[in-house]
Amino acid sequence: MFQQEVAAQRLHLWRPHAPEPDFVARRTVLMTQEAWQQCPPDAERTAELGTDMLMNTRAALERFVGGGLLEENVHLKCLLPKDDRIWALRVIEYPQVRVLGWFGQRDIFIASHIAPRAELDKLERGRDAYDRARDKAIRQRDRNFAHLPYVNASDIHAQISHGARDDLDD
Amino acid sequence: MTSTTDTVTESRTPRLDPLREGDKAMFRARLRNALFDELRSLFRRRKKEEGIKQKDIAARLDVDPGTISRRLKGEENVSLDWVSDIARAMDARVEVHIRPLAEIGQADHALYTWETPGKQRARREHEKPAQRPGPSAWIVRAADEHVKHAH
Repeated sequence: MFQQEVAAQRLHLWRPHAPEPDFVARRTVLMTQEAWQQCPPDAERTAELGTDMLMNTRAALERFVGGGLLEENVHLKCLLPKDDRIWALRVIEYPQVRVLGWFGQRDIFIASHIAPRAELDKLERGRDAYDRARDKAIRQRDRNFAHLPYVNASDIHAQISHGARDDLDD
Repeated sequence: MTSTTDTVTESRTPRLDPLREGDKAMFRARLRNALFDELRSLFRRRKKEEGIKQKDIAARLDVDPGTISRRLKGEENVSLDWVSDIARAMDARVEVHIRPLAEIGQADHALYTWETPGKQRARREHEKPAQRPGPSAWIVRAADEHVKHAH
């Protein structure tokens, strides 16, 4: 069913650019039209994301797709309230970026839009920009992709294989 | 008038095109990600095997434990010196290995092919179970012949 969405160009399959030859993709990132325009495969910068932000985002996506260990609250964070099942893929390198979306199924992340963290930390008309971003993702999922399943769980292991909880703090 | 010596020198000088900003930024981001992963992985190992805590590392470096926590979460930019210090505080050292790209080879993303469910099943039957997630039918995989071609 996700393949049909890609064939119809309602979702775009994100592929790493020029990875090393032994690179094997173990997870999938699909992007909505908006996210695709924010992180186009061959651009060096966009109106919203400068070169560093864009490349940091690409590197984080490459890491996700490559199947690296992802830790909850470090690399991936379920936005509150967790019942909404909206996740942020955290681009932790500076300048930081958040890729918001949901899991269509285990190891398939559907990115709805991308935002610089600095923007998300701002208050917009008295409301946390994170809340707006989360609501935007929910709207996309429920209006445009209501026919697709999504992972209705907040546990990281339900979302991805090779995941871990952040357990490094004392 | 160009002398013979000048001509020979010019012909041996490689033509190095300026690097694109995006190219540089991408390689920097990959390096930082790899470094960060290594540090977290090392700390996790030390914690599991020896019970070392972040406050122990902080005490060795004479910094606030919150600093270690934030930096290990990638919430602060770190310097090369700090990377060396924290590795040392975990009784490790940073090793540097720089490889020419020509030795590694780079597969062009355009050479990636879709892996159908049938091919995926067939390949999985021949592969040992991996700790990391296996490629799904969704995922693209560099075909061997394409990689060879890229070399």
